[in-house]
Amino acid sequence: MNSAIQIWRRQKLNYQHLGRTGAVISKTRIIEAPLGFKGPYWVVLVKLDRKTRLVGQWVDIIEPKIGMKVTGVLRRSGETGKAEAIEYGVKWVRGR
Amino acid sequence: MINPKKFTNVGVVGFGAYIPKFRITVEEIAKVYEKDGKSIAASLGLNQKAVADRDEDTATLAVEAALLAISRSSKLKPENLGAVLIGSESHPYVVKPTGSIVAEVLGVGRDYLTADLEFACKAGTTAMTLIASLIESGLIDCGLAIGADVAQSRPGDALEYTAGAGAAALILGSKKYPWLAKLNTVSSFNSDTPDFWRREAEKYPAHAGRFTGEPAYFTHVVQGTKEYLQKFKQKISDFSHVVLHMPNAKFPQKAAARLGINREQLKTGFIVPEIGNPYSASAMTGLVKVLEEGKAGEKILVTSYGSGAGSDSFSLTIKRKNPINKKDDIKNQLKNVEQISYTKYLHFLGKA
Amino acid sequence: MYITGAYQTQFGELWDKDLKDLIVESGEAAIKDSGIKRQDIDLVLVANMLAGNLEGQNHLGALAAELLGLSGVNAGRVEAACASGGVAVNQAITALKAKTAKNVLVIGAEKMTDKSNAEVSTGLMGAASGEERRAGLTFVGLYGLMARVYFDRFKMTKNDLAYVAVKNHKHASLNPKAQYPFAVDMETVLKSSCVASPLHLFDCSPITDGAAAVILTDKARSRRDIDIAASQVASDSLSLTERDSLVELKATKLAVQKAYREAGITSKSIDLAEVHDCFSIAEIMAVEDLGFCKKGDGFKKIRAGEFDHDGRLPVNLSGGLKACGHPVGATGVKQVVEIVTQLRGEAGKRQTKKAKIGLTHNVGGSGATAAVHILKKR
Repeated sequence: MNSAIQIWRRQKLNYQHLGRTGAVISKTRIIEAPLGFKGPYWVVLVKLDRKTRLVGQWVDIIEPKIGMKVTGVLRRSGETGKAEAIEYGVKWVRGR
Repeated sequence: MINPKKFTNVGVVGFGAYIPKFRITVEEIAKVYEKDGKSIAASLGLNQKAVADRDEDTATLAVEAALLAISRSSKLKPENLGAVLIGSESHPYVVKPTGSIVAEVLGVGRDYLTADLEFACKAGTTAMTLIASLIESGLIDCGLAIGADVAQSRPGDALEYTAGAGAAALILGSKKYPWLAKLNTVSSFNSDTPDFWRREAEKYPAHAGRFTGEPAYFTHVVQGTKEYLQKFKQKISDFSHVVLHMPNAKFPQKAAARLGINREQLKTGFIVPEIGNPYSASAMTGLVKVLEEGKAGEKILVTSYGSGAGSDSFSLTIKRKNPINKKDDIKNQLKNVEQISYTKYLHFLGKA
Repeated sequence: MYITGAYQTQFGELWDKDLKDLIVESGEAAIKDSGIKRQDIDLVLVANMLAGNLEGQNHLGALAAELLGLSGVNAGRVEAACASGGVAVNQAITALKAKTAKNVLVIGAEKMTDKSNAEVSTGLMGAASGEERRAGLTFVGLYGLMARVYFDRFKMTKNDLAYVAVKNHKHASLNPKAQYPFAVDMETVLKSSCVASPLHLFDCSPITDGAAAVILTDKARSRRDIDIAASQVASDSLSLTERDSLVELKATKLAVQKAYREAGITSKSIDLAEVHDCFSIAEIMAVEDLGFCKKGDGFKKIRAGEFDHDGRLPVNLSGGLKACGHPVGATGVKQVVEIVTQLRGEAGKRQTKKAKIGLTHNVGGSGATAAVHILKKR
């Protein structure tokens, strides 16, 4: 799916929100996941403190709630095949 | 032989551990095999182990621990790090170092040393020794040593009850940086002992059953510690805290008894009943907990153990307690966990 | 400018038809319906989104021209995700306005049922941004994010949302070409499984095979020719996160405002509409964004029956995307076919009595493209 080269080129973009804080504006629980992902999982729409908005996967053990303060943590992005290069990105948990 | 050197310029500048939030109990696993979970838990001395999420791996756990360690350091920026050494038995790639992935995420820059380390459960403490030596020699001013694992075990094997996940990061530095603890001395004790191994391309490790006890763990931990104490003319009673590698609760308790280590000394770093065995992060996580909860002036002795086999022993003296990010202390991380079923466990391991 | 030929194939799971069959059937029928001589067609546009992904077939303009005995003609493919159809019609009209063509054949065609749901769902995410794809989102998820905010802000209930599907199925039960030509009750919609919260199966348009074709011309020749009063396209950010609002589609508002201006009318003059109900929440936002009612009132007015078959402004008499089906590249063209058919008085059981001015509304992605057409009976 993703070439190692595309993953490499996206590194800065993928890691930019690590450790950033924000709040949940909206959320959806994906039951039917697309190829390359294993559901179910929440996806949240987050507004960072700097007014930037983004979408990302939720990985905390508690359910995300609208308005909840959140932080970005590093996780693997999507499912990786046995021989493929691994892509890492930022996913979201309740703010510490 | 390794010289009985006292480090003069190496201290702990930052420290942190990260334990994944999921837990599975011994009973939940035993049910699958129609075994008696209660008695297995009793024989191991633990009830549960930590399980990493499906999208967590050694690199992501290492980053979590490292970010916490960096946040607890003073005057240190990621680009100051001169070396990033990660010890693990579950590096995401067999070829392509975890060290450079983690360094890139942390923003270390280009000017640093890295290569991956493997020595079963003691690669992280070996990373500490190498980093300390780089600092003492003046080649670097500070370095990051991490022990991290998402442990794999064959379903149905005894190890399945204890093989957990976690990461611990220690930033060591010269006097250029404020020390939270001072590194005093290190030694190592190794042999070619085939108690537990994993061949290339094999998914799961193999082990020699009861042979992993006396000739392996006990010989290297007990003898290694004794030789360390002898080398530096120390006694067990010199230490307020002792941390031993914890493959389960029974082994370190038994080794402690033989070495004359009492319950009080073992208590603070004894994390195995809560989280199981996070392999390369085991002893280092115990050490981080001691650094989080210990008092200034207290001396710590750590003996790690890695199958194959060997042990590293080293001592530190706490200079001051860390006041930063106490909410991320291990004792607080242990409070918010989610128990999972065996099916979810398989899903997280990527087998479902 | 006029629409002189219009045809829609059966929409549904057409196992024994491939993309070429759909192109040929719709193209031939539209040509026949128009009465225009084949050799007078001087431009062929094919609207399609997924043929490249799903079957490795691009270059559809040349393919369609060849299949229809039109080789030699100016031909190309138009892609704007699910707005491909509406945008293709707009580009045909632009050619007519520029006098670079006199008779344009626009075919919207899509073959979606040869591949798994997951493959199709992944392909459709080509209409979204890379960041949205990497977050593991699907289209249902993107509209789910909008629906969640809409629910909270305007105090909509689950029943309100469910009524959209009930209405559109009711309409489709009168449309023999619809994928699901049967009514469903509220309970069925409410009980359907969750796909991406808060949207359930019956809030989502299906995966459909189908094609629709129109012939546009510069001269009116018959009473059945329908006047093109406006054709406008507008765009907005690809990513949902860059939008000004999560409960409206600015692209729709921009396009429709330009269209009302071009046609010299307001929303009050619209008698009927085919709007882009890829998900029920989309129809609710559409009737608001198109000016048929105030922001936040959409679900109330729909529930009150104002947009039913016998309401003041029937919306989606074809059954909409939900019940007629949504072969993505074909939908925008099919919407034009439906309005043309209604304006001609040829819609059979689902014919509305008040049909002088109709509007079509076709959206690409989560709102990055919107195409609005206003058609008038001569």
